[in-house]
Amino acid sequence: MGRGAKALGCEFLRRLWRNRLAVSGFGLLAVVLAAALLADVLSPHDPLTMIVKERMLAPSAQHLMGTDNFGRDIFSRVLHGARLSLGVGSGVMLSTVGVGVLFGLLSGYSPRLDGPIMRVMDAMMAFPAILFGIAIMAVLGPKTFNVVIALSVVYAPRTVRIVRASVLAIRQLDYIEAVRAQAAGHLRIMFRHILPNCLSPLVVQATFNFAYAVLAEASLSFVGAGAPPPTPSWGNILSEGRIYMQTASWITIFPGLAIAITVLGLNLAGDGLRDVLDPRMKT
Amino acid sequence: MRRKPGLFAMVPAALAAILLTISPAVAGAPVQGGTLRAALTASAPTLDPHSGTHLAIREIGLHVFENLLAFDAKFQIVPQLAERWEASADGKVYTFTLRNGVKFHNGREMTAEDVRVSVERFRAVAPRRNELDGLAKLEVVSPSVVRMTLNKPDASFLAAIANPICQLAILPKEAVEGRPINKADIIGTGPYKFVEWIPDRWVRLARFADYKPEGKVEAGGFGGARNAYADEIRFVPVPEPGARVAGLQTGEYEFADFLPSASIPQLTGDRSLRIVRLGPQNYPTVYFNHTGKFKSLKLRQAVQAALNMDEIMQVANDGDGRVDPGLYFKEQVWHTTAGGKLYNQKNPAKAKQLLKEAGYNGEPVVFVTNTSYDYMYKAAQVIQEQLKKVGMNVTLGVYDWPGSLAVRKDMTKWDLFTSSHSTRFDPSANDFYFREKTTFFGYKNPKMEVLLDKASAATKFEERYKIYEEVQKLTYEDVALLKLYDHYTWQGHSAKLQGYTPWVQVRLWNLWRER
Amino acid sequence: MTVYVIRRLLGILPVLILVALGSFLLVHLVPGDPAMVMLGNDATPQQIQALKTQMGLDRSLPEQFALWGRQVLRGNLGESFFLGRPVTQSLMERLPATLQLALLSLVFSLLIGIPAGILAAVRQNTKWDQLIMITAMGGISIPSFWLGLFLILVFSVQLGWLPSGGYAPLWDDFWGGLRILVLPSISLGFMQAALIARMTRSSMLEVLRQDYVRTAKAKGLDWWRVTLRHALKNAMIPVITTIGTAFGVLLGGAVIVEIVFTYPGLGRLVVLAVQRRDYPLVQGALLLASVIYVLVNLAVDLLYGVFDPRIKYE
Repeated sequence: MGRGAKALGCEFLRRLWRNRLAVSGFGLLAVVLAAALLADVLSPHDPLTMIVKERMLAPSAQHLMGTDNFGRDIFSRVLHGARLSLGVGSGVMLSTVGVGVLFGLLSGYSPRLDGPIMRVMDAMMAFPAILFGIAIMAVLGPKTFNVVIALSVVYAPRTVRIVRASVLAIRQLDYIEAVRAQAAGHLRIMFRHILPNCLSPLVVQATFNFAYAVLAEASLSFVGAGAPPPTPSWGNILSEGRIYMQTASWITIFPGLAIAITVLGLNLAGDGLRDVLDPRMKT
Repeated sequence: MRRKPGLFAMVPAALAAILLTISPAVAGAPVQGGTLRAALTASAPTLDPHSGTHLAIREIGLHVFENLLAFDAKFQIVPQLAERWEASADGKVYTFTLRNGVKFHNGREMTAEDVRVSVERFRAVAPRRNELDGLAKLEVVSPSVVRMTLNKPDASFLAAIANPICQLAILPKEAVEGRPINKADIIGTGPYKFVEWIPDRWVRLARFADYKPEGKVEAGGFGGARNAYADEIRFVPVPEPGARVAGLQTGEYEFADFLPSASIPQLTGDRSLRIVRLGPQNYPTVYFNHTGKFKSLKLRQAVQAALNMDEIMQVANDGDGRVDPGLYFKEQVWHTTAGGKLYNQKNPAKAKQLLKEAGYNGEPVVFVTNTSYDYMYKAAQVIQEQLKKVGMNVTLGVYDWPGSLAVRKDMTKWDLFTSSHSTRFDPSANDFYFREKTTFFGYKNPKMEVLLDKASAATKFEERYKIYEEVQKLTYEDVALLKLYDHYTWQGHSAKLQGYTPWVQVRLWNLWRER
Repeated sequence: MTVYVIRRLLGILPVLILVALGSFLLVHLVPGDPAMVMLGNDATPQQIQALKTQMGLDRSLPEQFALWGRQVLRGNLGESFFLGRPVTQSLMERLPATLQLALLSLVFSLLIGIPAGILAAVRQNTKWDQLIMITAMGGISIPSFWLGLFLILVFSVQLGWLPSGGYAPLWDDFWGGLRILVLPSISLGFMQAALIARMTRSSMLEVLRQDYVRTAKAKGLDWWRVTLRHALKNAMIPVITTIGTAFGVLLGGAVIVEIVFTYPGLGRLVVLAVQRRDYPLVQGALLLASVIYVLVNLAVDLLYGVFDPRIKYE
């Protein structure tokens, strides 16, 4: 480990930098991240202030993306919405990775635990995702944090599956047998030997989970089961603008673009990572 | 002297033009036939008329069922299944004489026995059955006479009979005797009879050939002559407003209810459609939880002072409304502006002052609203902003309608709550909000109870009106609840449909489709 | 192999039990109950309680679950509170609509995705490849409801070419029904088409790189025969296996598209049932959707084993 890992790391970053997909993906993400972090600075107006007289104004110099039906500036709301989307997305990504690693390792490593764990995962994956999300939100109540929980529950099973698949493949490798023959402890084997080799598909899946979460959060908000107002969420803005599609289509265009750009960035980054980490995994 | 023929020729033309513009509904004689497809907002949870207060139940039900009495366009009580009624001198005994030869949809003729069984079943299951708590005895005097005896005079008794909300519909004995809630057979006496219900797809009604209209068409409202011209009516639940608009434009529906105001400009330009405004349909309200922090009068007054109803109306309904303090609409005889000075104050400075006096220290205020009713949801967001501006820390709890009702039951979980009141046909319908025993938001005011008791005992309209004026004044002074604005809704129908007048809710009788 | 199949079939049972338990718990944990919804806004707590007792909702959760579970095992999904008819009947009425939508979306995604992927692979790194891949990238990034809204705005409202809602079963009115299904299927299937295109492309590329293909090309065999016959067959394996998951995704994603297009399918039925707390209907629908998903995936898994001899089933 040690110096070898650093060298691997540098090599990885160098290859990543050369990969066009990864660069454009992370570039887009950097823009979105900047928007989220600098939202307060970049917003020309307060995203929550309603000036009823200025309702539904088309995009102009003063309101780059127009105003919504409450008289709030959409540009400021879209910028702040980035916070919510990135926040929920990263929360979901981290928790699904955590759960995925934990249960994937356990499941792949121990045939005894494999059965029950996979049955539960299969059952969870059998629920239609959006209905599952709506139901969990209804049970937990309307809070942003609950959106993270709900989406993590929905997307954890596929992460568990991915980790488990890697573990199964690696477990059969000769060198693991050798390590086992050396009577190393199970935990040590799992975390030191097996896990590092699972990282590639895991990292790629994590990026895609982030993308799914951003889309899913928008979908939940769209049907009214997402983060509560007045917190700006791209899905909320889209949903509010829906009935004004013909008279004020800018209310739906811009948040939709924001979602598309973010998800595009994540997909590109995921593709790029996959190229770099394991060209054999190309799909 | 030469006459100017041009001028004289113009007179009849001018007369015709004037006549045509002032009587747009007079466009020829009614024509029978055709199918009317009406797009409504919600699916009815049930078609059993005694089983719920949901709007969708009566939107359909009023075409199929009838009551002993009905409200006409002027909100006055007129005969429907009872052709006349007499009240005894002491106001305790009402004798209803039923019309002769009224047939049920199953062919049988209606008798007083059917009335008795229907009323008894209503009293067993209906959500608003406590309005008949004063009914001590119901006797069948003869096959066409029913006598009802109250244990004390009640001026709102007839209104309870005629109330279209959760109709006291008369069904055949065999359709309703002993049936639990939701389980009555859908057999009535109305101009249309029930054919089929595919839930969430449509409800089909067919013209009832043996229907005998009662009274005059001009009476209007839910009473008077209700003729069925169309062969079939199909009520289709279309919850998405955009889909109702689109269906109206493509001709998929001949009638569409609750059109979003955003679509009105473009729809009015469409010459194949007529867009009408139903106003008002309801008024949104905000309830206080009087057992929590809003026990404090000053705190309630602060909220009352801060609200700007014009802005709320602008956003919640795109300006389609009327700012008016009355707890009954201007169009109703019960309307009054008593207490109106405290309505729509739009006074943030005063609100801030009142907050200080109330000793408010930034405690979080939980405002529960729901996504099922767009206008309530939007109003709540505007109110949250307005209250924030005067320094109140308001968080929104957003649920769907049943979820919000569940939260409302737990008095520790909310401080403010959005709701709405649809057209009330008699002021007694609002009593239960203000009585300690029946209120669900913890209201307790002995002065109010005294007023309501007086109103219940009064028999003359003028007397009752004065008392309910006091009630409204007290509602504002004590800030029992807040009325927001009069909410208008839009309806649209095909230009080929004649005879439609918007009033209270969709009514498809006395309508015909031009060839 | 047969032992494996039987074992897998038995393995589904615990999954289904978990799904049943999950559906029951989920819907009962949501605040609010059907009695409240039925009686409306102004009902008193006493009236609500009385109705709840009548509906059997005041019994303990385990007891209610046991009752429902026993019913289900006998093949009876119960009766919907609001529709007043058996759940199975209500679901079967709406299932064809959703199936038509999901199948048509699947057809759309395959018809667009596979040829696009093949083209991109065969013309790798040319303008075609880049164009197709960029479009595919866009396709997996655009929310389906946004796409749906815009399709409605352009094709229904502005151009008036296609309807924005409604329903006509294909076996009743083929062309009419198809016209209604076009926009929703595109909204729903676009993302899957993009995914399939990408997968087809990479799968094709991998196969095209294989020695035997290069040998065949070197030998000068008819290039198209080589590509289409041999490469395609092997490249299709991963694609075919994703049909199972694609179908599941489409069934799930149909919910949002059904809402946008007011399409009377299972998705909208379930959303409405959740809003009304129609417990038997929600439980039954979730159970049905999960059963379909599990069975389709099982079938695909088994087929995968049949097609790819490299997979070893212990």
